[in-house]
Amino acid sequence: VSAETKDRSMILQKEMIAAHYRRLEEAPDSGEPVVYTFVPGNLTELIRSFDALPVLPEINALQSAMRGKSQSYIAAAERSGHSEDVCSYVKCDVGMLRSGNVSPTGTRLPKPDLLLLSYTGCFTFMKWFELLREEYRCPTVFLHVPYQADGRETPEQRAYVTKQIRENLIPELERITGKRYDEDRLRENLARSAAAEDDLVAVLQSARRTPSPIDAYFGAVYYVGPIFSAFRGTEEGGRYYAALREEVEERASRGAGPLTPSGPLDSQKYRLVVEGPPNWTHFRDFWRMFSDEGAVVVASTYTKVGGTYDSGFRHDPHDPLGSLADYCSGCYTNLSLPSRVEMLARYVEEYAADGFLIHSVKSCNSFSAGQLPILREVERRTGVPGAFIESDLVDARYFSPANLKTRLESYFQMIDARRAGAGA
Amino acid sequence: MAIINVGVREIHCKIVYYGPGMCGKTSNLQYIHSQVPREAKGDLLSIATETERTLFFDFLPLDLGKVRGFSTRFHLYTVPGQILYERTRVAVLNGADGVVFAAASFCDPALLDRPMLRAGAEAAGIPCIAFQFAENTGQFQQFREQAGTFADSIKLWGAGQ
Repeated sequence: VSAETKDRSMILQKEMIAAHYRRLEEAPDSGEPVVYTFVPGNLTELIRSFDALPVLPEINALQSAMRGKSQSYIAAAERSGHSEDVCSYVKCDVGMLRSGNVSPTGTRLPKPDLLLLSYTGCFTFMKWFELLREEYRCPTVFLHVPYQADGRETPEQRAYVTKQIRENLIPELERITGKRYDEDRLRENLARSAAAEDDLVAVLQSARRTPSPIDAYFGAVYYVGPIFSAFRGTEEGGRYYAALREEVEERASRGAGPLTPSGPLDSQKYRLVVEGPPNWTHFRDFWRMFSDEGAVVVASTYTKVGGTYDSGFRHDPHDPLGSLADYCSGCYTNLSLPSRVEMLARYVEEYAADGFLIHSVKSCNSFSAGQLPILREVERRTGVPGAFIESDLVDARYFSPANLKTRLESYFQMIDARRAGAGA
Repeated sequence: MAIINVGVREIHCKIVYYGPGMCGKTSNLQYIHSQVPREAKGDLLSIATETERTLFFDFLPLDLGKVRGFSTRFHLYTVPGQILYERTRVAVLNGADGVVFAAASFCDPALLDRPMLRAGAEAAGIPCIAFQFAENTGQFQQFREQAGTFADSIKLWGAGQ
């Protein structure tokens, strides 16, 4: 991709990621403690308040896949005995570890001083860290975050998660980093998070416009990158979101569409809502299947796995641990199926979508379980046509370009036919 | 180790199905029971809870022909998969000649143990093999061949060699 086809925010983000990986490489010398944790429910503000650095294994996996490295890592993991059927993120990470633990940008990754699991909706995450603990023999904190079966967090659940953060996690972070818990620093970080979250929501909601100035799936996975990973609550994270918002608002004021692999998508034929994570091995090819047809994604659920900010949640400096508990509980895949249906149906209506698409990935049961009933229910409620396509996160063997393209083309034709029918 | 009763010329082998709850261990035994001729099998003994989950074990005795004049009697057991029954599992596994580790293909937490199980088996000199099939697998000849090759390799090189 040449520089002319990249947004300024993309270049800024690339620099931030590269700088973070360099800092991680230097961590064994600089003495900065390293905490491995996952995107859903990540407690970055708290980790950073102890001057520790977060490593997100699933981000490493997807970044490796975007750079064409995942297949050899998966093969290495399968040679060590892993089944073809298990989550490809795990195998990509295990394979990376077996191949020298080199980060996607080519730097060396440090060993963890702590493995922190702060979301238990995904049992694979739990097992993943068990495997890493076996490898690194390092301390582990597993929080138990209750599933939101009734579609909301009860006061008891909130108190339960807060208690675990206060009584289990904070003492362990104090022990590992040798620093005292500093609530004022945490509050500062949370205030910066809330400001960045305001900016992100403004960016995501700009897709209500016609034409949409963003692609809220393929484009927005870049937009959520910093806030879902190591940069939430940091100064550079704040700067990124201010710059991103300015960039998107400027584009919106011109009535322009987002930059896509097919060029600027100013003329938009189909507005879609998408459920499920994208494929990373053929990310731009996959995006092109949409942009070549003039399809823009106006809302997606994947961009809520690291926080449902557009539903109103903000990190709160006035209630630091309580709002971190709310955050852990409110991740998209920790929500019940009725809550997910509710969110998707709301998106279809609020963003005036022409269609609703599920991209189901073989790897992720947290996402995939229940997607067919979700599809039927969202179709029933909204009346817009739905479609179902399948591939995988970082295992290219499950990405079948010809099948996906045919399926998408016929789906777009179906939307055309519906329109023609409605106009007749 | 298999128990060999020279007096009555019988070899007794104990095979234990092991794996997480709800992965199909009992179903597997029930299927085998339904397929084996009446004269070669004993009753399938199941000790189940009120919810029909295995509480202690399922037990299926099978007589599968003769080896050098000795009758072979296989005792197939399952263990309860639920976490609660740790001690029961250890007791049932005791003295096993072979273990079938079963897991559903969508069950990452169980399948992710596979490298550890394999490494443990290899370190102990226990031959192991993995089969992978799906609900819609229609052709099982390749599994017969795999199983035959596995059996040949044990006969040729023996366990722990």
